[in-house]
Order: sequence, then C-alpha cells, then structure tokens
Amino acid sequence: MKLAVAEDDVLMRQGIVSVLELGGHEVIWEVGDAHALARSLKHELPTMLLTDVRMPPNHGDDGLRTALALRSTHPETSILVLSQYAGSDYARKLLQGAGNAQGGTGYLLKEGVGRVSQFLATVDAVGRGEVVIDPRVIRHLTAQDNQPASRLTSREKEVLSLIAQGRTNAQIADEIYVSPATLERTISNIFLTLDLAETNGNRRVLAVLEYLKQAN
Amino acid sequence: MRHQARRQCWHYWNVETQILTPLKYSPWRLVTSGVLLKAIIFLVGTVALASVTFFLIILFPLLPFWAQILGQIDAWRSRPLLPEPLREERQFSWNWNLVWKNAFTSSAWRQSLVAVLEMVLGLLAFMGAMFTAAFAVVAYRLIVGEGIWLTATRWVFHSGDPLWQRILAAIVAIAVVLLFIYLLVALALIQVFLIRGLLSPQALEEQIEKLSEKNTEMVTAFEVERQRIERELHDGPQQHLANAAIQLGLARNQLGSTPADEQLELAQEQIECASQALRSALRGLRPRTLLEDGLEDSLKEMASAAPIPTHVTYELQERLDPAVEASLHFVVAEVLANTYRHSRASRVDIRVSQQGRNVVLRMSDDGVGGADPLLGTGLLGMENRAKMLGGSLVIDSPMGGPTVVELTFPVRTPRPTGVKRGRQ
Repeated sequence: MKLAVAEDDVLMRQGIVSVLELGGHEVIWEVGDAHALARSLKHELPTMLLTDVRMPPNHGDDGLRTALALRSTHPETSILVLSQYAGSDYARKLLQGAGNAQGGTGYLLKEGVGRVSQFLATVDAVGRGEVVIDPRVIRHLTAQDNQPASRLTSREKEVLSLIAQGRTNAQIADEIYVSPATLERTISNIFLTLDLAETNGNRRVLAVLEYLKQAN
Repeated sequence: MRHQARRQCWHYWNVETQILTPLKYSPWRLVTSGVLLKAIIFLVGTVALASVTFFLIILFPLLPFWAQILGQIDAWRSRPLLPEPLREERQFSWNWNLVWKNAFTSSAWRQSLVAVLEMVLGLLAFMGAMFTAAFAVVAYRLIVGEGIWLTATRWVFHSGDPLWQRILAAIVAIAVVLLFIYLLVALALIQVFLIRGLLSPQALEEQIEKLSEKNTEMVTAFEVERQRIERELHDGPQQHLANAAIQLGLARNQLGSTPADEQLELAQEQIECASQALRSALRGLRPRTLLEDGLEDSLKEMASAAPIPTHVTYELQERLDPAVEASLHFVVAEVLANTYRHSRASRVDIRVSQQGRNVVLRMSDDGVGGADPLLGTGLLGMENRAKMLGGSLVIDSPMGGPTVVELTFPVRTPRPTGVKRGRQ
C-alpha cells in the first residue's frame, strides 16, 4: 500500500514511518503541517492517509478537516486518524459519512502505534475498507448510551464492539471462546437485527456504524 | 404515634415583590419598622411635588424639563422605601444644553408620565390623608368624650347618644383609620413601584445581565483555561508518552522474544496507563456535553449516571443563554447530590418547562424529606444562583417527604456573545 503520513512531532512521525515500513508498506511522503499536507495531496495521492488531528500552523483540527475534505473528493482513499484525544467529538465527525466511502476509516490513539503488530493489522483492516475505532474511543462513544434501545443481545453487542475494533472473525472467535461456526451465526443474527441482511456493500462496516449511531 | 409534618417552605422573591411586602406587616410592625413614617414623609413630598406639577402642566411644554428634575428627586426620595438602591438612569445636571437634549428622549417622556401619575397619586394621597385625619378626629372624640373637637364633630354625633353606640362607632372609626393608613402606605409603595419600574425599567434585567455575564465569564474563563491545560498536556507529556510507547514497541519488535520482553511489555503497558490516566483526569474537568449539546443532553447524561432512577422531561424548544444553562446544570447537580445522599428516594423527576414568560425547573423525589437550606452550603449556593437568574427558589421538604425544589425565572433569549467554542 502507498501510505502518506502527516504528523507535526518529528520523533512521532519517524516512529510511525518506522512501524509502517516494518509492515512492508511504502510511505510515499511525510509532512509536518497542514499546508504541506494540502500541497502534497494535490501532488500525489496515497492509498491511505495517516494524519494527526491538530497540526500547525493553526493548531486547530486542520488534519481532520483535510482528511474529511479528501474523503469527499476521493472517497476511495482510506483515512486513519491518529490522535491524543479519546473524546468522542473527533471520532464522531470522522464517522459521519464513513459508510458511504469506499475507502476505510480508522481512529486510533497515538500510543497504540507502539503495539506494532496490532497497529499493522489495523492499517490492513482500514486498507480493506473497514471501519476501525480504538476501543478506548468506543467506550466514549457508547458512554452516552442512555436508552439501550438497540435490540441486540449483550453477546451480539460484544461481538459488534470487537468488529468495530477491526478484529477478524478468527480473532473474535478466539477471544470470546466460541467456535467459528457459532460466531458466524451470531454475526448473521446481528446483520438480521440491524436490517442489513439484504444490503449490498460492506455489511461489517455498516453494522459497526449502525452500532455507533445507536450508541449515540 | 402520628408524626407531625413540619412544612418548610422558603421563598426568594425578586425585588419587585419585595417593594410591596410591608403591606403584609401588622400595624405594630408597620410603625416599629419605620415604614409608616417613611411612607408619610414620602407622601407629603408627593403632595408638594404634585402641586408644582399641577401648575406646570398648564405650561405643558415645560413638563419634560420639570419631569427630569422630578425624576432625580423621586429617585432620591424613594430610596428609603426600596429594598435596594435605585440605579439612576442618568445623572441630572444643570447644563441646560443637556436638559434641552434630554427633553426629547424617551426617558424624558417616561419621566413626564411619572410626573403626571404622581399628580394623580398626590391628589389621592391628599384626599386619603384628609379622610384619615377626619376619622381619627371622630375616633378621638368618641373615646375621649367632649373636648375641643366637640364643635368639629357635632354634625356626626350628639352627646345624648347611648354609650354602646359610641363604643361601636369608635371601633369602626379606628378600623377605618387603620384601613386608610394601609391604603396610604400602599399608595406610597405603589408609587415607589412605578418610579422604579418607569425610571429604571431595565433595573432587573440589567441586574440579571450583570450577574449572568459574571456567570458566563466564569464558565468561559474556566473553559478557556481547561482547553489550555488539555492542549498543553496533549502536546507535552502525552506526546512524550506516546513517543516512548512507539519507540518501546519498535525496540521490542527488533529484539524479538528476549527474556526481558516481559518487563518491556510491562513498561509499555504502564506508559499506556499513564496516558489513559491523563485523559480521564482531563475529562473530569469538562462539562463538554453542556457546552456543546446543551442543557437537555447534559441533564440526561447526569440522569443516566445516577445511582437512583432519574427521569428528565425537557420541554423547552430553544436553547437558553449558555450562562443560564450552566447555572441550571449546577443547580441540578447540587440538588441531585443532596438527594442521593440524604433523601433515600427511589425515584427522582426533573422537569424543565416553560410557563408563560418563565422557565420552571422542578425537581421532585419520593424520599424522606426534611431538607433544610440553612444546613448545607450547597443549598445556599442554589439560592444565590436563583437570585442571579432574577428568579425565585422554593424548597418544599416536609419531614417524611416528599421533597420538591422549584426554581422559576424569567426567560431570556441567548445573547450572541455566548461561550466561545474553542477549537482544539
């Protein structure tokens, strides 16, 4: 995959690039501020953009806004946002419209990059077009769950929450101690409950988005 | 044994109602509190000034100029009868250019209106005083008997009337005198009420504005400071922690499985924990939901985290001023904290509704009652917040329950300069 990295802290940027290269990815360019990011995007488009939210010169949410603008013009480009913020605001902004994009969407906390193999798995999942949200951010998104109106059972919610974290079926089955066949049944039940049985497109992504939407 | 329910009810009224409270006094208190004397002095002034107005009204064009002077005098002389000093709208000066200019402003016409009303009230006061005096004379004569007033009252009573008739008449006369005294006090207070209302119509609004601004400033300053701290921690310590985690991860990857990997794993975990701890510390400082999503959501969020089932009914269509929302948020938080601690309730209801021009926040529970605003500092804080909103707070919490807290205040539309939503 051709990747691009936007991050203002030099050490952090080098760290991210090193981890990505460990995973055999090609980093076509790396930038340290929002202006350079915009310029580079015009120059050469990556398969996936990894970006910080807050960046110079404004230190606002320039990184996130640039990423959202990129998704509207080039929905096939995947976006992985790396942030210090576990609060749900940025993640919610990022998730709006994530279901319609071909490219994947991810929101990870920066220290998560240190979990090298997990991080690389996440990069792959987002590259496949999935939606992956850091579990600590998901807790925030679901913390405001006032009315458990969702019709999912707690086991189904657990599975869905794991899907939202970018796990594969095999990993999930392993984690919750069920056979892959049982898990398949659970997942198809989830799709049925969320009326996604007849839907074309990435049902895993749509289910996750539906779940997060209900959680809010 | 039947438990005697002790009703505890506290009312905090706004200034307008406070002006008229002396009317509820007993005659004794009316005299001892000095209100009667102040009212009499005030009315003498009214009669005197009204006669000046009466002559000036013939020269109608002069009225706006006289009204300006009168406004100043009225503001000054109504002061003893006001629960708090009147805020003069404009200082009067003997600069005739200014007086000429002011004569054509709306405030001069309001002052003229006060002058004319004062003339009417002065006339009423004069007549009232005469009647009072007449009945006082009658009462005096009936009690004391024949005397110097004999001639003056001969047309009412004859010395040959039976005693019981004279006693009855004396009682009636005293009652009438008392009634007239109350009417005169009422006249004085109504005039003060009018002077305050017409010469300083924004007095209440400005008071709320001022205090609410203070409130907004507080919320804004707090939010700005919180954002600064959050940014500094995210850009400083947290960035270093994340860097450490990444470098450690890279190092572990290079080293492969060594005996030391367990310790490295532990170190990485600890770094992640530190980062997480920083985040939760910051989150505690942030009424984010209140600031961004508004009072309804912040109340519902509070209710969802409550240890007792708490139900929120929010009926307002539009958002309130951010400072007002913050006030209500903290009042609810305070009441809930008290409820959870002391009430032993099994259900709490919070209702925010609009009644005419007022917003009503009503919180009720099915607990044991007996909440005493004089015991806790929290409840006193609520009283202050109610005053800041220009509203009234009623805490009804008899022993044995239930407790109802009701906060009523006039609606204000949000000002354009609300809490700035800083970007992060």
